Amino acid sequence: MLQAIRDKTSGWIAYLIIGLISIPFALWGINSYLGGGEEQPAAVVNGNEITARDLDQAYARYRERLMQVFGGKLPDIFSDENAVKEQVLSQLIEERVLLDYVEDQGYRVGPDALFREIAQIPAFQKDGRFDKELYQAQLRSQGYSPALFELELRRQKEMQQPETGIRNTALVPQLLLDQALALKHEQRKLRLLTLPARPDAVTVSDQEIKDFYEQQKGRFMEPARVRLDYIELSLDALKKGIEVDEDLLRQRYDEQRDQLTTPETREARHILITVPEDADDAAVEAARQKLLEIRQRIEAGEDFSDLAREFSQDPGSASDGGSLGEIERGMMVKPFEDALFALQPGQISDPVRTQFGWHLIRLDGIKPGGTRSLDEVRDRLADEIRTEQAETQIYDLAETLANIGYEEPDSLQPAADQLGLPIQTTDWFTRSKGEGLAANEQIRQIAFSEDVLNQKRNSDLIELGENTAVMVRLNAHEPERLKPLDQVREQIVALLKAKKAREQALEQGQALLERIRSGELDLQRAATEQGVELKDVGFIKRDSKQLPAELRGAAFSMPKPEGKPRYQGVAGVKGDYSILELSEVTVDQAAITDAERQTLAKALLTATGNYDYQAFLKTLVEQADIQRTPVKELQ
Amino acid sequence: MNDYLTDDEQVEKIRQWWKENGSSVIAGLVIGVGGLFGWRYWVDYRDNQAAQASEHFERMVQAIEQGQDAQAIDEARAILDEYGSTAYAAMARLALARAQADQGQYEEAASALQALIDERPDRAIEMLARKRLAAVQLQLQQLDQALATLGVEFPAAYAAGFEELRGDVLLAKGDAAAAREAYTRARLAQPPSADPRLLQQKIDALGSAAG
Repeated sequence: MLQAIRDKTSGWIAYLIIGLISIPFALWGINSYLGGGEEQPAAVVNGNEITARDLDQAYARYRERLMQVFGGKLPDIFSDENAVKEQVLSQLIEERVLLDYVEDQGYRVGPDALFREIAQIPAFQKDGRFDKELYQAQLRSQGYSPALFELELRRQKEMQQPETGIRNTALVPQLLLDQALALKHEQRKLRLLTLPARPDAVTVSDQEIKDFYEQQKGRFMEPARVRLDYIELSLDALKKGIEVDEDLLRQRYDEQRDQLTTPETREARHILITVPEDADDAAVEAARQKLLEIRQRIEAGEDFSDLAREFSQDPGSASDGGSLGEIERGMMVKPFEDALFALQPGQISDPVRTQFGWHLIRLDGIKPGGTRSLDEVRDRLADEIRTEQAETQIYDLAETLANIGYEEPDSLQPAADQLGLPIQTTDWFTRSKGEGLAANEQIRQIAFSEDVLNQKRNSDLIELGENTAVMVRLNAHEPERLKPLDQVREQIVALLKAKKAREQALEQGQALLERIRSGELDLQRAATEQGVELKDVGFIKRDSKQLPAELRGAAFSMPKPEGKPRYQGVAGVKGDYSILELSEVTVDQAAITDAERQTLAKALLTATGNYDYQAFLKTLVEQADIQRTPVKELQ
Repeated sequence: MNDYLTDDEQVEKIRQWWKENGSSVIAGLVIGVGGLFGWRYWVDYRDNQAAQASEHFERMVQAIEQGQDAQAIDEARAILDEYGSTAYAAMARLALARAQADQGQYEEAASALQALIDERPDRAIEMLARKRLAAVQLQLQQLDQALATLGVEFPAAYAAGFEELRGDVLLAKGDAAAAREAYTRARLAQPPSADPRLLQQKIDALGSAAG
């Protein structure tokens, strides 16, 4: 059988068939190389994908949160979007790993606990108590179903449990707390002498200055500068040149007449005596009589507002003296409105019957309605028209400018002539700093670009905000150049003197330190010999502000004295050199109060719990099966 | 072949077949359906157990937070007694150790942590227990045991914690040079030590400067 197959598969036909068959295999999967395949996931965690979309959404949320924290401004780190995304991705991976862990280990928040959690969310409470309908309505408005919301909340709670468990059970034994307290409150007894740097006492030769200038040319370069010619197209400038036609203005006014008309409003107060809908005639009449009595008292001189406060049964206005504010036609029920609009200012109505009961109405004042005249709104309308026309024009002009500037790349003049716009010129500016137009970084970048700077072509049309565009071209260029020696001489002298003085202080100081350590000199005599003050610092602690940080750091990393003092040299930031004497190390027991003990214990527990959880979580990540795509390779 | 059989013959044949195989079919059905229900029951039971343990767990961590060690210990014991097979058992042992250490009962704290390690939990929890056990052993001056507890291969994420503690133990043994090496390794690790300033103070106290 096999022999038969072999016999028949020799010869060129067989090879041809094998060749044809192999094509699909050779090309299998090629589409994923050509980018036509499925979207590449940002990461795969234990077989679960985190898609690029998940990452983008998480990034957007993170960004938004930081915007809120920083009041609308993003911190500098966001200039490198990919770096931030890598961080966000790490976070997503951690979450996914933790979720897998929690499910695998069987952490479980039961329905009772879940309900307690939901019930205490204020958004789902009415009058301080959980309200089921409100809960469902709130979820619907967020596009959640209760089942989905509960699942997510349960997961979230379950994912918190290992964290709470680990953080809250952190432990710091007494011995380690005592050690930390002793270190924090360690105090060291110091004396100190400082040899200052003396730049005035050293000299530098012309040759040294020249050598330095030659060797360090890079430090003395004047940066390249340019000036630009430019044509500016701005909406504001265009608007100034537009005459508004009177007919057009009038037409616009007529169109907007409705919005320019305000209706008459009436300021009124009322007193309401309510009558239930099913009241009998006697009750209705009794209410009317009551109002008539009130009306008489007002006519006898009592204040309407006071009586409204006393008798009115309208909860909205009674406490406000019955005031209803300004009322337009159409706001009140018909009988009320008719009565109100029939009154003269100051006049009080007869009792008026509405569905609410009986009203007594007083008209306080009338604000007449009317239409604002054309002259009143002329400026606003004219500006509106100018803006519209300028907006239409600016698109055409921008296109013309872009075209001519491109077709005649060696001069701005043709474009300027065609558009009737002036060619303006900037002041000198460098790549990093400029004023006026050149204050804009984009402009500076373009000014120093290959096209503009080297090819000396017109730039593209550059949009600056919504209402302005410019086209620029090189006017003059001064390349980077070395500043002449005379100009930087003083700077070099200062640098060299500081350097020499520092070296001298170091050399002297080290020699002195040797003599002190060998016992030839004590610190007091060394100070006298050098003509400097011996500073008796006494005991200081790590956080003391008495000494500069570099001296404290050195003092607290010296080995403890054994029998005799220790000495240590420290080169200062100002070129000086200090010699420290450490004679005693003790612990400030008085500072270790019960309160201090508790404070540090708490801080250490928190820090330890924090670390324990981080180490735990990172271990889970270390052990998970993760394939991660660099963010910059995701589309 | 059924074509050649009468109805009676067919019935007889079926009866025959049932006689031979009926009990297996019924047994199969019982096992299948029973298994299905059993499985459902077991899943529900397990979820239920975990949910109940979870309630104890929440009360336990809250008790520790409020410094009520006795209550925390009660809750932890309840989890261990009744829900020893859930994930919360490990948390209960951690809580037990913490509450007992708070009360100065370091021997008991050490036993709780040792018991957790002996149960062979997942690696992340085991390393956590080891780190805490070593700290307790240091307190008990069981220095060689502490070194043994730390002397396993640990994940990089635990490097700072393990090395700092190793330094503490070595220092207690009087080996300053080895302690300094361990502290220095701890300082270079990621994530960084719980309190990097304290770690630096420990290094400084060993006299890093020459003199």
